[in-house]
Amino acid sequence: MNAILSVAASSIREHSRRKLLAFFMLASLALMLVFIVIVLRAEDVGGTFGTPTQFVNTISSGVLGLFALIVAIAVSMGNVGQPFTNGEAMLIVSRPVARWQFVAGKLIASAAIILATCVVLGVEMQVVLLAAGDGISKILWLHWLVEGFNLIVIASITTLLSTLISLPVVVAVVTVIVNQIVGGVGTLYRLVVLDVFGGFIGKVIEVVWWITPKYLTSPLVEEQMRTIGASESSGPALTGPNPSDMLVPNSSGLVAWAIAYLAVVVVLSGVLAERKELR
Amino acid sequence: MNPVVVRDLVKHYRKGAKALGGVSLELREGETFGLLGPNGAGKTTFVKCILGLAKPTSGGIAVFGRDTSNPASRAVVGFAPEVPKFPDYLTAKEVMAFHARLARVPKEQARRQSETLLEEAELTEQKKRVRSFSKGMVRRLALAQAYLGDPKLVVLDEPTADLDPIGRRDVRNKLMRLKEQGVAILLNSHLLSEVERVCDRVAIMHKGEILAIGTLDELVPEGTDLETVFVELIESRR
Repeated sequence: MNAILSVAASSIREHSRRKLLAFFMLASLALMLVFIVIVLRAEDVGGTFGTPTQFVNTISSGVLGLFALIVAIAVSMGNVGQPFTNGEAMLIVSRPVARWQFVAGKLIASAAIILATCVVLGVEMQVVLLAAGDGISKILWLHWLVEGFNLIVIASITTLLSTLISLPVVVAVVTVIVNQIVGGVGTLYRLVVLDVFGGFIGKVIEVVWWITPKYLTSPLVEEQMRTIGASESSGPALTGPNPSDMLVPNSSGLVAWAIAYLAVVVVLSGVLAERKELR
Repeated sequence: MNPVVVRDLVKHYRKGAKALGGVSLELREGETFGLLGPNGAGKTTFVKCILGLAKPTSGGIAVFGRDTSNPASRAVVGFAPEVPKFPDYLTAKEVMAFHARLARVPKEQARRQSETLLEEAELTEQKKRVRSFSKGMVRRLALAQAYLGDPKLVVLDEPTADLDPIGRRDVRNKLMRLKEQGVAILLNSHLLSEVERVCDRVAIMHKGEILAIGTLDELVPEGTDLETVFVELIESRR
């Protein structure tokens, strides 16, 4: 455990000194100030973005979600491949440290940075709401909690990919592609649930859906989809069942599946790292 | 117990290239052992196998009686690689603290040793990060971290590469001091004069095999030197 935490602490220290993370933190702070100005000009918010709460919810699930996704990929794309190739890992595993411990330490560091990012973004959005005269938003915090979990799943997939690919940039690109595929499979599965696809094709999509990563649906996103579903009438996804009902029979099943998937990805990363040649 | 025992070690890389073809040797307690050979002889692969960094295709290696697949075999081993790489944004002091934790050195001992070793390596500047270090400074830091935690075996791969004559002398002096303390040293070097000065025994490797092994007296006949013996041996196998 000591070795894992040492690797994690060193990795967090290393990331915290990189310009990229500092840039993101400063940019998010600047965005918060911009958002405060927007919500304080109530007439603009009402006319263009809806109420301050709707505005903050849209921003949290939109641009800031992307923001956090970039941070998650940036802090995990070089977790294994790069240090195994450039010699950094060699010095660490020449100590009484197993390779899986090295990977676990790197993953813990990524997870800690992701959670810290989500907390910072959550606080910033809460500050915007408070500036607009609204109170503490429970749904906003639940959103960032779910977002944090989903981003840790993405970071673990990125880490798994980095055991197979050395170049961090390529790892990042492949992660984005994998993410898009997962999204596409999710959409297809919804169509299966809505009986648009059936028979053999439906079964294949169902199997593929079960083996692809599971992300939890944020209550904030769920609420937004319900709102859209209530206000529009066209399109099967919008008039169908509640999004959380569409994914699995019940949400506790989805949470268990998502956690199990995360565990499998983490273990697989460790196993692959153990088999990887150090250069 | 011998620090290192290697029996019929064979290592093939995935693309099929043979790096080691049945190497056997023992490193005795308190001994300074020099591994010599031209580029591509398999010296670094041999070192990696001993440290569990590369997995042998066949054969056995025991470090202090433990199989190298067990990380505990490296508990009292210090290592400085040929091309050291540290996290760019850490300072020398932070690197030392990190490696001390990995080597499970008690906190107070780690702090004291770290200070002494960094002073010896002339790396006392507090805020300078590794990314702005010269090659020589990185090398000195690699050597300093290898000596942390009173290792019983020190494995040095080309330890004097990138160092100026003063730095080389300092490394030699440090090796002599370790030797006096009874630390076993495996020295992998191109510099024959260096090996001649500090090693008790040497092995000459070529194309993954040991061509000769013994004390300098056994390998080098009177009236000649290690370089002549080395060149003749390698040339005869080309």
